[in-house]
Amino acid sequence: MRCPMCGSVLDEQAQERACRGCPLRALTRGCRLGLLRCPLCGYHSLAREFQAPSKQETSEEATTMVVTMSTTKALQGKVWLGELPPGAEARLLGFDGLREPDMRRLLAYGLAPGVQVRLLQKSPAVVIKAGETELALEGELARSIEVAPQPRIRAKVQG
Amino acid sequence: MARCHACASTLEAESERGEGKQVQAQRLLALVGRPNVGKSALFARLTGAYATVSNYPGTTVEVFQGRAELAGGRWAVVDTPGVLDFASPRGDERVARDVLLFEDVGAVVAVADAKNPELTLQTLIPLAELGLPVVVALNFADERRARGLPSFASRLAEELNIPVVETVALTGEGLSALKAHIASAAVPRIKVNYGPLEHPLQKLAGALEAVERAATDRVKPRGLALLLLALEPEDAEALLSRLVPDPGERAGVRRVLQEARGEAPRPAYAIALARRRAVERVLPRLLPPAPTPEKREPKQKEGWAERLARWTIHPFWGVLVLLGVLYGVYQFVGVLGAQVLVGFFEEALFGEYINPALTALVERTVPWAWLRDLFVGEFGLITLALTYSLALILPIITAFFLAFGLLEDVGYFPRLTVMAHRLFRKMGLSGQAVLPMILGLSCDTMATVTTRVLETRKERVIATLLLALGVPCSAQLAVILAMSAAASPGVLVGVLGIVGMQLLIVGRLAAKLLPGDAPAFIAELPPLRRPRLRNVLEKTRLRLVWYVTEVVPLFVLGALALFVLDKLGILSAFERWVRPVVQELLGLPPEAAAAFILGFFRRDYGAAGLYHLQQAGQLDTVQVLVSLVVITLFVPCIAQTLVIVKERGWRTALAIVAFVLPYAVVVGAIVNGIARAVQGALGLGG
Ligand SMILES: Nc1nc2c(ncn2[C@@H]2O[C@H](COP(=O)(O)OP(=O)(O)OP(=O)(O)O)[C@@H](O)[C@H]2O)c(=O)[nH]1
Ligand SMILES: [Zn+2]
Repeated sequence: MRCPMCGSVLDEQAQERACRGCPLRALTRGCRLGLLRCPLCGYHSLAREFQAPSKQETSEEATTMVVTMSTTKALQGKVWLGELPPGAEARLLGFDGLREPDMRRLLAYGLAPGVQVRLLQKSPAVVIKAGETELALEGELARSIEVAPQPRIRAKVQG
Repeated sequence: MARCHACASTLEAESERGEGKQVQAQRLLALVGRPNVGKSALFARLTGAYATVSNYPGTTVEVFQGRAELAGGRWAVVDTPGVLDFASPRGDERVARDVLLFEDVGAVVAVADAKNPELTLQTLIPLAELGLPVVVALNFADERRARGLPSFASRLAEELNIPVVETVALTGEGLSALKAHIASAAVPRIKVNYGPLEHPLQKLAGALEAVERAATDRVKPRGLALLLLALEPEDAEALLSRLVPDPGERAGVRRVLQEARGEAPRPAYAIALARRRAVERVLPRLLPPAPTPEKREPKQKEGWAERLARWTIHPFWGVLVLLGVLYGVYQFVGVLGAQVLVGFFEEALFGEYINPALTALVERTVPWAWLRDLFVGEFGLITLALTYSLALILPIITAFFLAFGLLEDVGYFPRLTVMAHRLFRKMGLSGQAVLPMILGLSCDTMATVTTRVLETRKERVIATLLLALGVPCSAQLAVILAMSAAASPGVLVGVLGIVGMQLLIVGRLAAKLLPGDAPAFIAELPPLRRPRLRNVLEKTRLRLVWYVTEVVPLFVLGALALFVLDKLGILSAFERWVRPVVQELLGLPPEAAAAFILGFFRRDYGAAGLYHLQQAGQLDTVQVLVSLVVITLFVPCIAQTLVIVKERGWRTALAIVAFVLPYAVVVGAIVNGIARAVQGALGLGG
């Protein structure tokens, strides 16, 4: 998708963040009005105004996603692990929002700033995979872990 | 799960060494590592002794000891509880820490996961800092190969200058190499720089070094200093008073420790982070140069186990899986175990052959009527104790242990914690408490020991209370399944629903009354593994042996007590005395009073008495419901009460028992009132 106002490329993840805090969303579980909102410039309008991406853009999705997410972050503050959609990959940045015992325990489980994780699911508990280890975290805890979302690495089909 | 106290050869880490134990003569080998890395399985391979192996973290909460012939000498081998963090406030981790600090450990087998180099290093750092000679067993080598991950064993050996062996505890692969390397155990060569913490750290280590009469001189002061800094203040004080027995010297060290704390805010976090950085520094040297990162295609590898694993924690499918598991257990235990097997054992085997034969024998050989009654009377040792324990409960409990062991081996329970943690939050418990409570379904006594894995006192007390109040243990659950299968499945739903509601209410109230809050929920989810029939059978066998040696004598004792009370006329007096409660309040036949007396010995014993009444056609559906609710909420059994005293102190134990008994009766009365009213309103005959 591309924003008709500023031209930046959107992805679902950025969209989800943009929708957060919208009172309608809480009532209707997802935007029932079919509105989209550009996280960069704040322009919102009907979904069809946001054109579908071209073929070429889809293949570049991975890179554009980083751009939008990091800009989103710059504009809207931090990104938290618990806010990413299932399937997202992210690098842990900091535990500053946590109480010390929880910080310690995360470290004991091998979660530290710099570690790469994949979010597997968010309900009934947040489940992440770090390396070969699968961990379940309470949602509230995951929402206090700051992350940098990463583009998903696609397996290159090579001999 | 901890093996029960009486029959396990445990080495209490708290107990003083010496006193004629053979430990001193031999060298001590300690198996140490993170939870669920296969320590107990390796222990079994090394010693031939069985320590409980389950696919969830926290299986071992006490120290198990065995012997082995290794590297040209006899060793005493100990299996320790899994440790994430040696400076943790948890009781089970403290047990492992105490073994390393205060036992005369000759070598440590650091058990780690061959799939995970980072956590392996994380395990080794504290051992290196304590200066302990280590051999590394990289277990799960089979899983590493199956996932196509490279081996880092030889690089690790080179990098840290220690023997490293890849093992598969299940098959015994690598075990002879491991045994051979024990003699060459060495202190890992890895040093962590703690940055701003270094200065206070060195001062504290210096102060510890200078102590004249230290309790231990085998571990390095630097490692001890790190532990003291990372521990919660009260735990640090407890450790300090063991390390430095002399009060004068201790005061000096304490002062330095307090200064060090002042210099370093959040020392535990700083230490953990510095260690993490050290791990990251070493890590690249452990992994082979990777020309193509992410060569494996992740999707392709997803087998049945991974797919099933995802379903078990799915918000929707997970509930279905849970219901399916419950239904399966109900069918297996309630229908197959209780109706088919009990039918065979009780009615056919005991009812037609054993009991008549023994009765005839007793009548022929014993001339005195009262002695005959002791064996084959209403409360006879044979007719009551043996029939209840062997014919009624043994078959059901066997089915239950088989089902439970299977679920343990597959690794379903940690996944259940994901589904249940929100519910537990409402009871003031974190998700960590889910496992001990599930274990309560096997045996509340052992589960009470397992509450050690909980981090705060508040959580431990609530979990102990709820286990005592309303978590039915295996035998009791089995009887509940059996009775409701005979009455109507609605009874099962009713009993579980009502008791579950009481757990919620009481847990909530206790959470309000006790200060503090539950720590956030973090849990490792081990992969689902193919169950191994051998392990399931072995565990079932061990549990049955425990049942027969530990529980059957209690049944005999209960029958004896009832017999004496009956002969002295106290029983009928008591029945008359509690009649208003039993008959008016609970609406049960007066004979139920005897069942409740048995309940003081064990709740399942009482339940067996009720089962018997039901079989005799003396209980209607409402009465089955009411009596099951009361007996489930009834006082904890003698063994459990003793363990509560040991783990939580007699005050807590007394308070729990004093609360539980009247509570059970009140809830039973309310259920009776409501059920009768509903029955009346529906116009069903009473
Ligand atoms: N595939 C495979 N499974 C293993 C191996 N070693 C142990 N297991 C399984 O891993 C699970 C955990 O084993 P345990 O021996 O109970 O682990 P532990 O380290 O003693 O666990 P705690 O007592 O909880 O600290 C069990 O289901 C074992 O059957 C191995 O080498 N390969
Ligand atoms: Zn173990």
